[in-house]
Amino acid sequence: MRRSPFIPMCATGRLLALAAAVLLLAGCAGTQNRHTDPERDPWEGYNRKVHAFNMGFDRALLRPVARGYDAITPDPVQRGIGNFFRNLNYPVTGINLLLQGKFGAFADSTGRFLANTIFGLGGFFDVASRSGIPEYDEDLGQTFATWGWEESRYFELPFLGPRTVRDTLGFSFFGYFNPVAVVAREEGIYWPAAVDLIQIRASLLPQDQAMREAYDPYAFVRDAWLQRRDYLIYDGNPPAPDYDAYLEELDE
Amino acid sequence: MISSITRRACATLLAFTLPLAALTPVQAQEQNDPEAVVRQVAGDLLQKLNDNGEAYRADPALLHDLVRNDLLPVMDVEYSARLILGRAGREATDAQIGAFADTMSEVLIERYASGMVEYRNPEQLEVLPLRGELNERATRVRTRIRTPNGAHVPVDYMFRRTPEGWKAFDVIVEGISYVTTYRNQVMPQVQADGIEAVTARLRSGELQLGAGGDQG
Repeated sequence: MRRSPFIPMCATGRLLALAAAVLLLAGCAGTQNRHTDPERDPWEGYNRKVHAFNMGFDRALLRPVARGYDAITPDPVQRGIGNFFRNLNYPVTGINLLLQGKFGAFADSTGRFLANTIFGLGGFFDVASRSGIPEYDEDLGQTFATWGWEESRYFELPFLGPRTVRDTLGFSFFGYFNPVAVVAREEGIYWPAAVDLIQIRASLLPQDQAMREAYDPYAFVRDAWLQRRDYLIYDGNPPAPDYDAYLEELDE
Repeated sequence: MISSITRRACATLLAFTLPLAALTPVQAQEQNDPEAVVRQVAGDLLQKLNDNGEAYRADPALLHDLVRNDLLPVMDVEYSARLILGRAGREATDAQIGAFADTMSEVLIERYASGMVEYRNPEQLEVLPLRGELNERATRVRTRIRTPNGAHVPVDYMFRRTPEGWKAFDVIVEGISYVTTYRNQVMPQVQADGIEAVTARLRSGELQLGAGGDQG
């Protein structure tokens, strides 16, 4: 969730995605027939359609490619590639730590970035973790949340996947400055973006079965994603679920 | 993102291994607080796996029994079932809810057992101090599990006080609650087809509970 798999997409691609989203949104307004979570997911009808589209794209192209990559790439190499892209994006975490007023953590994050860039051969090796420098996970969506925009409706985007309205804005802003996006946009060099995406998808392969087995894969992904976002927003200490409310439904 | 995802993959797996593993022997939990129960039972179970890993790997049924005997006494599966069923359980009888709860716990135990073979080092579990969340009715025990690649996965257990002592009713792995996640999976089915049909599906394996990672 730190970075969208598709952030490195070029500007045109992002515009297209946005256009598609708007079209779909317009196209299916009023076609909602299921409300499994009216509070957080009032656009469920639209979201389910986009989800089906994303799953189709995943089945047809992304997943097969990621499986091939996973099969031929040794784990340590995959880890290195993952580390590299994560490190490239780490300044975004730093900036957001500043925006949230977490100055001590900002110092740590700067140290982590420098250590991994300099001693970790450009980020391939996560030397910072080995020397005990804590890792943070921040983005602009989380910053908005700490500024008070806590609740935001779920909003799945074509290609980009699960989001909320808040996180759509947050990810778009810094995604634009992501080095991988910049080389694609300015230099027309797309392979880093492709590698990044494939690596991210490959790292998700172990989750596939859980999703497939779910009775309602859409709700499964949505619920897990939203809970995971809360976990990140609260820096690992989100409030417990409202169990009493779950039970009160019984007495209604 | 990658590490967080890999960690989550491990977490999913671990959620079915150590966690509930962490809760147990009947005698222990009567007088102890939940934190001590987790600490003691997890250590104990991991120790058994550490000492007799080969035997358990060779005989899944043996492991299954170990997990069931250790875990069930400290789980409040019926309460979990009521939370998961929500309003869908309103018209169900106690017997129907009980049957649903038993079947669900068997499915979970099966998964814990199959995932647990991988983890056997008692030092992999760290129980964090309670942070003022202990109250009369419920509390949250926080633990961290160290995965083989060095990452720490937070796994929290929600306990509630019952007439038979403290019992766990939810596991929260990296912020993802099993009760919350299953609710939206199970409720619509029960509303559509009735609780007995869903229980039967669970029992036959036709319905999986989804969150088993690659261990299922």
